[in-house]
Amino acid sequence: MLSVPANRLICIVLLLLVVPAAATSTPVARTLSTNEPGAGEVFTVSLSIEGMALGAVVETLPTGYAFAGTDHPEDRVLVRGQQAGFAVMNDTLITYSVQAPATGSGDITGTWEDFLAGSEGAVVPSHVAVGGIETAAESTGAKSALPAAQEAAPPFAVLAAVAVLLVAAGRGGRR
Amino acid sequence: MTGEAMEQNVVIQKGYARLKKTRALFIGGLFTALVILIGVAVTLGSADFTVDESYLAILAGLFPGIFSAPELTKTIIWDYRLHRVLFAVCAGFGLAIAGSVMQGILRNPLASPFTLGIASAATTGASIAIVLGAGVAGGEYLVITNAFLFALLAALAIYGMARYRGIGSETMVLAGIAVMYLFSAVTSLLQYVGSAEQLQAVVFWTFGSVDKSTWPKLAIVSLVLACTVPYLLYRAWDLNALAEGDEVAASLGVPVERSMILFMVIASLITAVIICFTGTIGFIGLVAPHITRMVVGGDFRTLLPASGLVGALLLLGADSIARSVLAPQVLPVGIVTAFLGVPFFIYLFLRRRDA
Amino acid sequence: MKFWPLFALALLLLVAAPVSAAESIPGDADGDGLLTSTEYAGAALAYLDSAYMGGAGDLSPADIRDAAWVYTHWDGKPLEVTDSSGRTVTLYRPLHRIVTFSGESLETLRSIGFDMEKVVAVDKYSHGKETFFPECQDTANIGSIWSPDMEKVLTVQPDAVFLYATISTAVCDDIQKRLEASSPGIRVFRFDCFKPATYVGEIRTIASMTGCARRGEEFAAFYESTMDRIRDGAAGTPENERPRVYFEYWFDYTTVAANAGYNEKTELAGGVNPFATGTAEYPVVDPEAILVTDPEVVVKLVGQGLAVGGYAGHDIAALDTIRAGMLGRPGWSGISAVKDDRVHVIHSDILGGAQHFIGTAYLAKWFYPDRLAELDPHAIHQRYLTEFQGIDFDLASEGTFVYP
Repeated sequence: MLSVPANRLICIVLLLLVVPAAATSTPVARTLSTNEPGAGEVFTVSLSIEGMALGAVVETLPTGYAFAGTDHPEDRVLVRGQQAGFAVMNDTLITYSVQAPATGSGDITGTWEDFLAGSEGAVVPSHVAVGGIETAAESTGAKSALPAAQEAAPPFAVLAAVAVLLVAAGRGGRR
Repeated sequence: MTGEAMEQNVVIQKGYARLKKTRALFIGGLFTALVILIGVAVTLGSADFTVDESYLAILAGLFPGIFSAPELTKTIIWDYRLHRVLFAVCAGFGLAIAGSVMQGILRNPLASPFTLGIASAATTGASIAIVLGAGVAGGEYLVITNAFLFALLAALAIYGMARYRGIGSETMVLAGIAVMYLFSAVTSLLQYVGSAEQLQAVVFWTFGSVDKSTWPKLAIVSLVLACTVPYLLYRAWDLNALAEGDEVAASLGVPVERSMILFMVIASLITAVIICFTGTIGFIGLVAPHITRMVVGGDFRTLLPASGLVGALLLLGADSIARSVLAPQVLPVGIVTAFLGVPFFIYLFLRRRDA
Repeated sequence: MKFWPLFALALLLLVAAPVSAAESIPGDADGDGLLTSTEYAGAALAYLDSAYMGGAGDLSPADIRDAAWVYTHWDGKPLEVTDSSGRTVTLYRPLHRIVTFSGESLETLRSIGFDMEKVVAVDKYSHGKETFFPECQDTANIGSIWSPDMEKVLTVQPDAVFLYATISTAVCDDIQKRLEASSPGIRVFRFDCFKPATYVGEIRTIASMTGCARRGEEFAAFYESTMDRIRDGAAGTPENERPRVYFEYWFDYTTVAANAGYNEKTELAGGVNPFATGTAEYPVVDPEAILVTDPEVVVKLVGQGLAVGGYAGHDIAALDTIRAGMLGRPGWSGISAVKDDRVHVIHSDILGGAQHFIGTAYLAKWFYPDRLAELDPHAIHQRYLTEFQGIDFDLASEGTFVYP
């Protein structure tokens, strides 16, 4: 499906509509280079940070997935098992790599804390599944980044996203 | 001895025994009441502690190993409440005893630190310190030492005037009033000359309060009381003699002149050391001895300690009222005790008419 | 991997904990009084470790937030604050709970944009000003400096208490002593916040203390520009050409002199007070002397002792009555001030306290109407209320401060 440029464009528009909506309610938003990596593939996770000068983000990877490096300065990253903590110091973008297992799916979850504002919250979970195959244990059933769980997404963004999806479904083939 | 005389003897003895029992009961009752009132007073204050929390904090301060209480509670109880309550007790005790002694040696039921102008003199000393900044000690002790010295000065003046004209009831009151007016006039002049700020400071000083108490100040007052009161009790019989008149006392072997000076000095010292810390607190020295005399009579051996306890109860009670009536605002206790004088004088007035 | 250096750092932090028990910036691992970016990053990671990853550590959320704050607002260095009494206090953490014993310092905090939620107790006079301090109605009331409720002060657990610096020094010193003796964790700061000579410095000091540097500088600039324009009015005018002013206090025939604040402001505004001789602050004047001296401007003070108008009431009529009463005094129709219609009434709310610059601006404009024709104290006042104080008060319809 994504090989069709038009559909790719539509999916990007979808994401673009959704991501800002997510960002207005939390300062940290996550995007994956792919939600359905191949077995053993290393994919990139990008955290975009807005309006948080000094804070932290702690990412938790689903079982089987492994942290594979980051461009964030060494002395500002702490990795423990499935968790990676990033000290945010006037950063707007943090990227890190994740190695997918042979099979497995789950959600990459995260928590952010803004030390100056004294607030904290959750980063919207990102679902990832090797080869698009859900393994029963951790599948949430949601295939795309479209929010069922997204907090306070402006209605406009949801409607627009749904409209685009319908268009995409009508245009392109089925999955 | 005849049978009748023996009977009379027994009646007198029984009467005396009864009086002794009344006195003992009275003092015992006073003591218990004081302990209870201390217990209540410690729980009063704008910080919201329950009775248990207050006592736990006291115990935790005394026996830190066995009891524990929150740090904040301990700080408030030990640094702000406890010494203030104990100070009120000591101050009331001292003022009442000083009042009794003055009334005894001057043989005037209206003698008290107030009516003798000692309190006015202390106010003048405080005003000089506040308005002119002049005094013998510096910094925070300026006002305190000035008030103390001037109080002693007034006592000396009264005594000097009385000795010169001869010690009589009216002479005493006249001398006291003269001294009071003199020092009040000086205070008024200083208030006029001073800035609005300084005026306010002087006026606040005259209200009288135990809020400025600290553990060191309490220690000083307790020390003075500890040195003077036992001596007074030891010489109580001489006080009784002096209260009867110079000739009576002399005939009983009391060195009149020396004793009067000594007692006057002691009473003034006790008064001065208290009001230099609290400002002018009136009527305790006047009212407490009278109330006590009504119950236990004029024998200084019981009058002294009993009126001391009554004074302590009065002042602590007045302070507790001052703290509660306009909570969370704290009225200066001197204002509450001033109101005490009113029913007292009405009572005296009524009693006179009956006589 | 990157474990070991981080682990060593965490270990160092744990070991350094006893060192940091003597005051230091949270996260300052080597205790050298400077929180470098490396130290901060290490502290942040140590905190994340203990908070989210099951590690051991002693940095609480409050600690890391304070560290972030100090890193941002004070460049990672402790701040040395010198208050108006000359005392220097070193702050290693931001202030979270402030108690103000004076309305002036409370007002200044609001002007510099301080988060008023962090003011946990105010004095009883500010507590009673419903129009001016609406957000303080639910704040704790700790009495006044003359009868302070010390227990309440301790109960609200402040980390800073503000007292006056140069007035009521004896009672303020006493409060300071008692607080510092019983609770060493409470910092006492002495700020007047009402004296023209020191106010600008105080604004900047308080702003840097509270991390409101930007807004504080805006307010300081606003204040300074007003005071500069006030001084411009009299600049270059020799003493004998300055207007003679009769300034009457709340009480009839009582003027201000010597160290009285109102006298200082009269002189600042470029007026000359011919009755300001001697040391008494509020001397009584002989009515005949007023006629003889023939003042060019007459200013009458209302408020407090003569309570009309101000923030509490919109009462032009009352001020007019007072003015008319003065004009009707025997012989006054011959005074220059009356003939030139230069008799004014002003309220102490804007001439004393933190708003003195507004009242002084009015005085200056009355003394030098030609040179200060462009000075608009009314607009300055409104801007102060709306922009800096953030209260909803429309000068056109509420309050009475000057007449005419």
